[in-house]
Amino acid sequence: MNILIVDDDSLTRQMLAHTLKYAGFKVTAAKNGEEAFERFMIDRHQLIVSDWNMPQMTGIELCKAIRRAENRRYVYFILLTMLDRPEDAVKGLEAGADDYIRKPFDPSELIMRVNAGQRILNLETRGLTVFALARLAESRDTETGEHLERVRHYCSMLAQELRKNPLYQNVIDDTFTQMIYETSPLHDIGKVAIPDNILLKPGRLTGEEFEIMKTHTIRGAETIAAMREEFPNTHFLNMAHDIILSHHERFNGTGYPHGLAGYQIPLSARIMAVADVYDALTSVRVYKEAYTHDQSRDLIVKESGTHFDPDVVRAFLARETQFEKSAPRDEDANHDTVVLPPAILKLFQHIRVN
Amino acid sequence: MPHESSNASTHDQAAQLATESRETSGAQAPPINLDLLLKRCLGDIEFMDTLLSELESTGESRVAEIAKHVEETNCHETAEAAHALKGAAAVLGAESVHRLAANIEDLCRTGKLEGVSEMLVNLQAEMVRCLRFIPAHAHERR
Repeated sequence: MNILIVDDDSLTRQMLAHTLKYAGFKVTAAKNGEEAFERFMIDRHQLIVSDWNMPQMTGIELCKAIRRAENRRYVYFILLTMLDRPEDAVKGLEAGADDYIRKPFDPSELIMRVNAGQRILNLETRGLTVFALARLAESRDTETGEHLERVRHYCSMLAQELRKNPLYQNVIDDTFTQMIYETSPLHDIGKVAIPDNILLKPGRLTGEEFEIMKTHTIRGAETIAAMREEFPNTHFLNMAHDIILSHHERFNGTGYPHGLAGYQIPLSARIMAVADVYDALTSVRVYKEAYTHDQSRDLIVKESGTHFDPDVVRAFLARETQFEKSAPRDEDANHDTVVLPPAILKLFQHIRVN
Repeated sequence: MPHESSNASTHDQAAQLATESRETSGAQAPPINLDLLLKRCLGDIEFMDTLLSELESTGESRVAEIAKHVEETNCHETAEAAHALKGAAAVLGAESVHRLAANIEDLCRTGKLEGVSEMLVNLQAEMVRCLRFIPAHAHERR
């Protein structure tokens, strides 16, 4: 995130920039309100830390100008001031500021408050995403809420287990686990773009129909890509995009839409692939009964290294007891119209034969 | 040029005051709280030195700016200049400069200038002390 800092005093500006860069933020510095406003109109920063008392344009005037100029998305505005009377704080917050930090600031307090602002901005982004999902779900209800709940739970379990693997310790943290829990239900939002005669077809799809069905990954990713233009560098949207676009890729490069192989496939999508297929296998579909956990596990193990990332399969095996407990029971049975990849359908047939 | 001569005169007084202060009060606290400043700089000594160098090169002119407005009996501008110095001093942990600049600002915000000259002399003396302290501190570290 690029933070705009505004202070007419060079020493304070340097201290602000040093602290925020230390915390991993990009920083744009302006030495007065007018310059800050000009820079804001170019770069549209989402978070601003501004001195209150500046000549010509004060921090409050800057805040009001930005609120007037920006009506498409929220800008988090922190006022920095030496004024310390309670009525000053009220005046600043009434003018539209979101927070208030006293000078001289403590670096850890500044970082904490900026992080809080970032969390609020992320929540706004997530709110928009969930809203978009809700609209899509309203129009095309091809997946039940239970399926989405189970899949996010599976993804979360797999991420937690993979984290024990030294290869992933620097990749998977609490944020990753939380984000995959939140974003995984979005994996099939692109199916709203698939015609009813294909999406709701009870039988097997023809080759041509399957080609159309495959586009749900790209169509869904396009929806998120449009949001990413509004909110660049939002990890939540990046992960959602990866999952939606790549959860049908296969570890050996024979998946779709781009035929990515191995570690070219984003980790979140490699996790999602196992979670989604396990749920499809253990659920009733119009074309099949629910498979038992043991049958489903055997199928997944068989596809380790071809369809699935072997590391994710190992994580799945380590947690299989929990998977089994979370799998749908008979009374949960529904008749979703999820279309599985041909390779998995072949495996179903193989089980039927044997 | 009465303005310049006045500045020079108060500056001399301040330097003398700073020297006397140093001689008569050996136990006086350092003009800049370096421990606090280093903490604010997140332990980055190089960055701390950058800030101190900036104060070294601008400290005198910051006080001169206040003196100029005092001489022009411009309360508002004196308060603004004192406010700016107060903020910078606070950031650097120059606690006495911060306090003295705050006193000048508070007085001038009331629209009065009575007694501000004495405050200014004290502020100049404290700034002199800071400016002497910075190279001494750098030398000590080397």
